[in-house]
Amino acid sequence: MPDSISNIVFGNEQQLFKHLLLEDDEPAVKLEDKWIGPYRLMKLLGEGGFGQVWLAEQNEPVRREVALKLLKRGMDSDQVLARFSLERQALASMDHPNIAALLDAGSTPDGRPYFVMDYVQGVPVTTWCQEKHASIRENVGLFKQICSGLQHAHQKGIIHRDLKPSNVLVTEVDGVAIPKIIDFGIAKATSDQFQDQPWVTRQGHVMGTPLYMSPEQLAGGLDVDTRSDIYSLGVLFYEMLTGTAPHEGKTHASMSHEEMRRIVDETRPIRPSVHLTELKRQRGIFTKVHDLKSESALIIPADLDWIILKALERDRDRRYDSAALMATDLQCFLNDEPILARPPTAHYLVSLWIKRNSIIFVAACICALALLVGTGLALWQAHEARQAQARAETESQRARQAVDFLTTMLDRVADEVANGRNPEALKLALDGSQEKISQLKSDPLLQSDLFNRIGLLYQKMGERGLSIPMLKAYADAMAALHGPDSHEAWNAELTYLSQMMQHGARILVPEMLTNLLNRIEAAGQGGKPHWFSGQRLMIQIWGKLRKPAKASKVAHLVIEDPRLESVVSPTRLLIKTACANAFESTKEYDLADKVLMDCHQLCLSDPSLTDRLPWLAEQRLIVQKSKGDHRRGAELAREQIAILKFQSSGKDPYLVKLLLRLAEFESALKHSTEAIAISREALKLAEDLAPSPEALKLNSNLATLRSDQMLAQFSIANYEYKAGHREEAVHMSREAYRIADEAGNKSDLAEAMLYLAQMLEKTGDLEGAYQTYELREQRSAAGGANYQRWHEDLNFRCGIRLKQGRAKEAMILAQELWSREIQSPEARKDTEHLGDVATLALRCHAALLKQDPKTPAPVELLEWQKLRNGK
Amino acid sequence: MQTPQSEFPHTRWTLLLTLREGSPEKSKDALEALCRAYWFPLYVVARKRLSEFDAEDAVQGFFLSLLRRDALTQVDESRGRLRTFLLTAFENFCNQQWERQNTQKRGGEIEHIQLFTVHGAESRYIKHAEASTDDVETLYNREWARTVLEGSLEALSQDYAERGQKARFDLLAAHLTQEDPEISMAQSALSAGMTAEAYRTALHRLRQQYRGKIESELARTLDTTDAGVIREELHELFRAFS
Repeated sequence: MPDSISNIVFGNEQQLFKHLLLEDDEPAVKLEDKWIGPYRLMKLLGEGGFGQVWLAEQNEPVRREVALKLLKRGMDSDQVLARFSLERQALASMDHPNIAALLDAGSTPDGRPYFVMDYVQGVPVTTWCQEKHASIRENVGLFKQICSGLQHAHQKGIIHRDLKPSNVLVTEVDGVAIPKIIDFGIAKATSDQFQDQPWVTRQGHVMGTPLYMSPEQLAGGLDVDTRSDIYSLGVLFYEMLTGTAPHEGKTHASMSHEEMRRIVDETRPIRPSVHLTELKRQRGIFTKVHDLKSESALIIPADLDWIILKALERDRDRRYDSAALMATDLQCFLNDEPILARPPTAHYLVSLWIKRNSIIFVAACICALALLVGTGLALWQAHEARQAQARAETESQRARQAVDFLTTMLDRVADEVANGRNPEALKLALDGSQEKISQLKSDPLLQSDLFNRIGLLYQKMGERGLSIPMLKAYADAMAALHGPDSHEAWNAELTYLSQMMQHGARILVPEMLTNLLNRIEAAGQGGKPHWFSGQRLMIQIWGKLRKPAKASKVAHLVIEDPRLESVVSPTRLLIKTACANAFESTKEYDLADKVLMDCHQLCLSDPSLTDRLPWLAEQRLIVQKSKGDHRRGAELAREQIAILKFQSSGKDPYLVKLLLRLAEFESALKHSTEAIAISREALKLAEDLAPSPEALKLNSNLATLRSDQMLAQFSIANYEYKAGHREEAVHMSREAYRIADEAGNKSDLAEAMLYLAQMLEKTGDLEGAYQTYELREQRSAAGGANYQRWHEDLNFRCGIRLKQGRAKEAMILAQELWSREIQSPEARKDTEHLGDVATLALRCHAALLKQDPKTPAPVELLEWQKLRNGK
Repeated sequence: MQTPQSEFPHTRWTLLLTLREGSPEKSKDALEALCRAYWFPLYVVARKRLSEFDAEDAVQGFFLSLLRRDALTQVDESRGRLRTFLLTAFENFCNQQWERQNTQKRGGEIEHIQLFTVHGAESRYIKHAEASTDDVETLYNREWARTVLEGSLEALSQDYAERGQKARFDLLAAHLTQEDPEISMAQSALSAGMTAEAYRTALHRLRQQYRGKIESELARTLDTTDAGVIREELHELFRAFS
């Protein structure tokens, strides 16, 4: 520190602070009893960045108490007042019980602008709701009044621009709560001030928190209209019901508009009901003390979720057009009538669709909407439409239109989901759809198609539990429609079984599949495409059930069947690669490689399959890897890389994967320097090809490149670790986490966090690893309702505590894991899995006994021991 | 010396978190930033109990312990004031050190790494705090407030220097502390070739900028932009001097 600076400061601190504190506000004492125009200041009510609010007394023309807002010095009072006078007349014409009237404005002799308004003796609305433990109906009633006040202002052409809890005060008159909106006109008059001030001042003092601002306001556009206030209303209502604003958890105090805007752009608010449940759970976990009074007993009905989500739409065209409309919807909610807002996506698409298409399709459209909306009204409308339509169109035509419509809609939704965005609203829309589709008995074709589409959609969303019954229903519907031994029914059944195999009770699949194959053979279709597809599934299921010998047996049967050659090439390719996999698992490596070479030829001969070649190359590398022939693997990899580089001038995304395989071989050959260099090349390529976060939102295919980039980072981390470069390994893992976080794909993020945690664990940072697992659990749980990784996270956390010798904590985690496992029906069926959990729990118990031989046995002990021994 | 932009690169809490979780390089940067802001205030606390060299060792040791992450296990998002947290952590550290040395009498094991050199710490102590009989917490707060005042002023001076207005800053800064600068101001205005009015405006702007810098720094240590909280903090620092 230069002496000159120290000398200015030292000994003058008091002086400096005094100046700083004086700079914008006179000390309160000085102003008391002072007159500002016709107002006598009586009591300082509050102060903040903007200035001070005083209770003042007016004598002329009437004697009354008013609130006087004295802005801080430094505002350009001429400009403020000029702006204000533009709106003055409009402001003066406002007269509404839920608006505190603005009475006057002016400037003090020393140039500070002030505003005078009705004095409202009240508390911020959110505070009131929390303190009173207001019920849902009370909340809605109160909020409707706020809407009504705002509607009045909007009709007079006044936009508030700064709606937030502290600007909506609740007073009680004769025991009745009345909200009043204050500060109309002030935000506008004072905007654009402080442009040249440091950000902190500007933020804190004028604009308040960005939490309540609409996206268009955050973007800083001048084009802000009444719908911006609607957005803020949505935030306000959200907070009234849940106690926090929608994005509050993701924000921090010193947040810039830009950051806030990014959050609003990139994430969807969690629906209030889910948010509230999570908050309750968190509070439960953290405090463990259940204060029943303070614990909000609210359960937010789905309709309110919809109403709030509609107000919070990013695109203002999709919000309520007016505060009055929002109030009407709330009244519908109170009357148990159908609301407008439900559901935004479907509603929006329907209106778009109607605009684009001729009126003849409207009936189909409404019908489809009825499925998703499911309200009595919509179903009735659908019925009406059906009646009318029947006269002009045939049923099947109409159904096709509906299906087309749904296809468009569901495909678009699927894109959103594939991009890893929060599918809350969609999930809500699909809730109970099976029941609704089941009611469409008169339209079986439409019905079955919907089962299929929604089943596949659930699958994309990772809602396997919901997907399987849908696909089952689809298969049943197809069997009913076309007969159980029709190609259509077989296809549907194969889809269903394949999904069962992936995520369901896979132990049941072989029997069901055998049954299907028998039926196919009985129909004289043995050796035809369906039969082969069934056999392929059989190979795969034995593989999944860890019965490689059985898989290989079927594969031999299939591959030696001459009829296979007459199956169309794409199907043949799938069947043959499944066989190759089976041979690989029974260590018949040369046969596997030979089959893959066949496939290679097949792809060369069919132009539609040439894009599978790089994938096949990778399969061959995998075989070499399993065989342990790293030298041959590396050779083959180099060869394939050279070909692909030549063909694509080095720009094929698949190169990344092949390079990573090559690095794997080099690493196995103990060429760790090469391995690192090659995976760095892969990373470089992935980075070059990988799109920006913005581009990711447009095209879901690009997202896989981001995943590749992450994989490359994992590989580098891995090889660096092997080479003994621990810091670098941890660094790379963190980088992968960062990339995944940026790309916003939930499953990649979970993967990256897992990798990071494991790397930290390996490098000895047990506590860091523990916290990463914990964070992963929290982030995954916050990411959506379909959080399925709690098992992994708990398991790992327990393991770490064991390693650290903190047996007591480990035991608590193990018991939590156990109790959650036995609550899950799937896990209860899987004794092998339960056995793993039991073993872990027993290890914890053993560790505890070691520390203290007198540790009492947990009640589950016998059960655990039985499970472990049964394994 | 870092550039003024990187003078306060993070909120102070995030520095602690970086220290705990970051790469060695980042940890070192974080530690240096923390040292810059808290070394001397802590030295004053230590010096009230210990000799010149022991005090220096204690502060050095404390920052090293931060690097070893011993003290950081309690750092969490529940926050509270960083300033208070560090003071408490430091006092705990000193107590433990003292106990260890008294019970085991093991000397010579403290590693001596020079992290951050504080020139003239002792003379600064003599000037600022030796004579004072106030309690250590007040001394600590006072010293920290000084660090903020100085750091912000220094950063401001660099801003001016970058715009080629170093001389102007020096001229104006002299009037920052005067209660009624009217008389000497006229003189200065004259020597700077400005009208008294323009000079007054320039001084006013300097004050505002100074306040802005200080507020930014407080906002970072408090991790808030709530003007009320920042103002409250200003008041509290002010009280440390009255």
